[in-house]
This record gives sequence, structure tokens and C-alpha cells, in this order.
Amino acid sequence: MKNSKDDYYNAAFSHIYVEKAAWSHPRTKRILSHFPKASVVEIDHYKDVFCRKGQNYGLQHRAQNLILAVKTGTLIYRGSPVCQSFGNAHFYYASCMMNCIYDCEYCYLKGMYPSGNLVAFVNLEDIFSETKRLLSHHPVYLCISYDTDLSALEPVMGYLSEWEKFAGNHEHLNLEIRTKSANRSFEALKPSSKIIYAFTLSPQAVIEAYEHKTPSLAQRISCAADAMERGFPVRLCFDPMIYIKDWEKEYDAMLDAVSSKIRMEKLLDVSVGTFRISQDYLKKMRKQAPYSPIAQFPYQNETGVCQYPLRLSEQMERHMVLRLKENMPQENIFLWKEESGVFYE
Amino acid sequence: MLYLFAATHCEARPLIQHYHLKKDISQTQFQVFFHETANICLTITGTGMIAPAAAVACICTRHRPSAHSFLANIGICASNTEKNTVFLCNKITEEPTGRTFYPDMLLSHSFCEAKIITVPKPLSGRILEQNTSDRKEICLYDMEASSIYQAGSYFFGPHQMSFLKIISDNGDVQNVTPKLAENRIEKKLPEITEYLDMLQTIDRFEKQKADPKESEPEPLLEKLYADLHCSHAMRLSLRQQLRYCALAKIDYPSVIQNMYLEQFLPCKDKKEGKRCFEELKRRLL
Ligand code: SF4
Repeated sequence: MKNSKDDYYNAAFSHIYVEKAAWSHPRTKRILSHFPKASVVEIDHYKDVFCRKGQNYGLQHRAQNLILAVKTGTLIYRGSPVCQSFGNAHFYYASCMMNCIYDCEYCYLKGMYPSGNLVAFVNLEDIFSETKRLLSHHPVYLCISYDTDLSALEPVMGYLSEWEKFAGNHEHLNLEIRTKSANRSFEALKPSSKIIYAFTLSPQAVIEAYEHKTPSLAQRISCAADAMERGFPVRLCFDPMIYIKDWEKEYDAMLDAVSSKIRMEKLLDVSVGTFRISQDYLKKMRKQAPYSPIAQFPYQNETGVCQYPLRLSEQMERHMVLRLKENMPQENIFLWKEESGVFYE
Repeated sequence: MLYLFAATHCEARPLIQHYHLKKDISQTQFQVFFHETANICLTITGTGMIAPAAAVACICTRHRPSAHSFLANIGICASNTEKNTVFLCNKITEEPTGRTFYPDMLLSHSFCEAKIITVPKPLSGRILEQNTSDRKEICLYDMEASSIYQAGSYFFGPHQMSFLKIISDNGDVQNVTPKLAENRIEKKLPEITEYLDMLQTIDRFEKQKADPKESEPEPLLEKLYADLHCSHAMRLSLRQQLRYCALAKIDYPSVIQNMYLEQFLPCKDKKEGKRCFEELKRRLL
């Protein structure tokens, strides 16, 4: 007898949609071999499934499906102004996957994509070629886990190790791997000062309330500590900071937990920023998640970017920066400001 | 509500009997059968590619589906695989236009899955195995699914539509009598109704979850609007503020009550209302 609605939903990746053009790619075959029981459906183009009208992001996340496709058009994007560039002049991101296996209520992908399904582009070679073209002009700082969480998917996809091999042959390429995962994907990689692991951390109360399916704070901290131990530069991202009742106490407890396991002065840097999102994305999120306190928060709209009331965001960011300064040099603390990532002064 | 669509009366009869559906005599264009308490509406669409689209549009306009409603198309189909199997369609191709549609496959079920091709007229002995890339797929043929999907998508999302098909023939359409069609559905009724019952349970769960009482602090709002001399923009902002408080379980009624006790409220004019609104926002966060 089924007693909860969740029992009625399929497991993740029960269905895998494969673009005709991706069908014969060796990476497609390798990925499919991880899911021998999945129903595989052939499609003409990933947008035929990903961009259907009337999709329910929340329900699709409950039984997320995978789409394997070939990426065409723009393969590498310039970093957006709402993201921190950490002082890198040639800041780019690659979109080798779209969407994430985690389900954070505040995730901007919910406003950006029409679907909760996950798209993986199998033609990494083309993305590598485009990166090479950029490298022929200037050094490149590339975020490869941008609209997704590559580390969380590494056991199945193996994209990080392919990027590592590629980066090994290109001196002027720096990679950033942003993650909330506690997968020790770095164990299979050769430690390199050019591969930055960026762990996004939140208080346990925020994780429990809003970062569905993600590892606990303790797991993430321990994973970050291990990555440092192995010799990878590690960045901690306290961004987005989420307003909750007793936020001060919760963020203090998080920082105490971090500093008890990680030598803060050894971190590459940290980023700090309160939650912000474009008004268009927020509009979609509110429609999709009418009962989510994060989506329904009464944000202030500052020229198209919705954010906490100034008094509150300044208070939260200031508190965080002051606490961080107790343990690490100020120049390694990057505070998000609109238009450019500038460090806190 | 569960919206069922079947092409012919013989395909619908086992479902009408199982759910004790009653004919709605106010409907004249299509035969419609209802069960008010079970929240089921079954429509006999007629065959071909036009009539089913008209039936879906007609019924769904008269009885507007909610965000939790489900549509299910149940009927017989042709294929060259084993007869008497129920399939849930994961891909629907409209043969004349070549357009393809994908119902979401989010719910667990006990059926086989297959793609279906909707054709404008009955096949007469031309069923071919569809070879796709390097693998063989079962392919079903019917005359309604693509029309029902397209008309349905004006009212339902892809996660709300299911297409259940039972193989009746291998292209020898002249042998498909009304009795045979009815028998095919009847034999598979336990599997089909188990799935339909699941849809109804989910509908009920979602409705309970979406109970507006939890997130709409309506009764308080009207008095507050008046006492704060709210403009239209302030009204929207206040509504959003209290909606958030209700969801985040912030005890906003006490905060408001205290503002009355401290005589911040009611305000005497718009100017005072604006100041008081700022103070209220400060206290709520
Ligand atoms: S981990 Fe990042 S990308 Fe994934 S759902 Fe959460 S916020 Fe979005």
C-alpha cells in the first residue's frame, strides 16, 4: 500500500532522452551504460523535450530525467555581471550541462530554464576546441560547473577528469569547479594550482530548509578540507547568504564549524554575497513555487535585480565579512557588488 | 478531476461500468459520462484526428481543469508486437506533419512503454518495425493520440497527460469488431484502473497541499489596507510581505496587533500610512 505521494514517482534518470546526433557518440554509450534499466527515448533535438510548454519544474525534479545532446552555437560564455570574477579579466563559463541533481529552492536555474530535467552535452571536444581558440588570444579563467554541479555527477559523467586532462596541456587555462557536493571527485584528479575547487557552504538550517538533496554542512566542510589537503586551491563561497530567522546565530555556527576543520588563512579566497536574482527569473520562480518562502520573500527590485532590503543585505554581508576577517586576510575576501566583483574594503 | 478520453463507446464501456459513471445529458456534441464524487469525467471523442481535438477543447472549456487534474487517453491501437499488452506512450508522432510530442514520464507504473504514431486513417496491413539508430523499438499506431495531446496542451502540462494503449491488431483492421475492442480493454481493466486510481490519489494530495488558507492571510488584509491608507502598489507589497510571513511561519498577527496597541495603527492619512508601513516591514523581518 502506498502511503505517500512520493512513492508514486519514478527514480531519477528512469528515462533518458537521446538526441539523434548524440546517439553514436562514445560518451553517450558510456553514460547510458550506468543506467541499464532506464527507458531510452530517441529525440530529434533536446529542445523538443527541454522546452515544452507548461512543464512543472518541481515535479520534474522529483523524478528528474536526463537528456543527452550535442551542443551547437555558443559553446563558451562570458561571465555575467551578477557573478564574481575574482579579479580575472578573462572570465568565462562553459555550459556542458544544464540543470542540477540538487534542488535548492533559491536556484536561479528555476527561473532560467523551462524544465527541471538535466541536459548533458556529450560533445566536450567541441567545447575544448573553442577554449583552445580563446587561449590563442589570452589566458582564460573558466568556470566549468556553472549551470550545474559537475562534481555531484562525476561518478556517472566523468566530465571533470576530462577537463583535468585538457587543462594539463594548456598552461594558461585556470578552471573553477563550483560545487555543493561532498563527492571526492578530486581524488581521481592530479592536484594542480590551476584547478580551483569552490565549495558553496550554508548553515545547516538553510541546507535543511532550502537546499534539498544536498550534502550536510559537515560533509561539505570535510570534503573541502580534504581537497586542500590534496593540494587543490580551495575557495569557499558564502554566496548566496539566505535570510532566515536567527540568521546571525546560524551563520556564526557555520563559520565556527568551518574554522574548526579548515585553516582559513590557507584558503585561496572566499566570496560573500546575499541572495539576489533577476526580476524575470523571480517571476517564474514565484509561479512555480507558490509555497516557497524563498520565492515569496518581499524582495526589493533594484533596476531589475531583486534583492533583500538594503538594510538587511548590508547587515548580513557586513557581519559575515567581519567574522571572516578574524581568521583570514581581508584581500582574500570578495564581496559581491553589482557590475563588478570587487573585494571588500 | 480525472479527464478520460476514449475514441469509441465500446472502448469506454468497461470504464463507465467500473467507475459507475452517469451520462451527462446536458452535453449534446459529445457523449460525456460523470461521477461527481469520484471526480471523473469520461468523454467519447469519436475517431480520426479532428473530432478528438474538438472533444478535448469542448469539455475542458466547460469544465476547466485545475493545476492538479489529469488527462488520460485510453484506447486500442495497432502494432506488430504481441496483442493484448497495455502500453504507456512516451513519444507521440503525428504522421501527416511529422511533429512529435513527449508526455512527461514521471510516475511509476507497471506498463510497457512505447512510441506511438498517429495516422489519419486506419492502417491496412502496413505495420513496419521502426528501426531507430542501432536499436529496435516497438511502435504503436492509432488515430487520436497526437490530436488529444495538442488540444490537451492548452489546458494541461506534459506531466498531466497519459496515453494508455492496448494492442488490438497487427494491421488487420477489418477483424477489429466493437466487441473485440471492448474485450481488449475489459481484460486489462485492473492494470488500467490501478494507474487511474493513482492519478486520482495524487490529484487529492496536491489539492490538500495547495489549501490556500495556509498562505493567504486574507481576512487581516482588507482592514490593514484601509488602516494604512494603502495605494495599489502598497497593497501588492503588503500582500507579498504577509504571504512570505505566513510561509516562513513568522507570527505576523502579533506584530500587527502590537502596532495597533502602540497606536501606530490605524493611520490618519496616506503620509502616516507610508511611515507606518515601513515600520511594519522592519518589525516583520
Ligand atoms: S547546487 Fe547550485 S546549481 Fe544545483 S540546485 Fe543548488 S544552487 Fe542550483
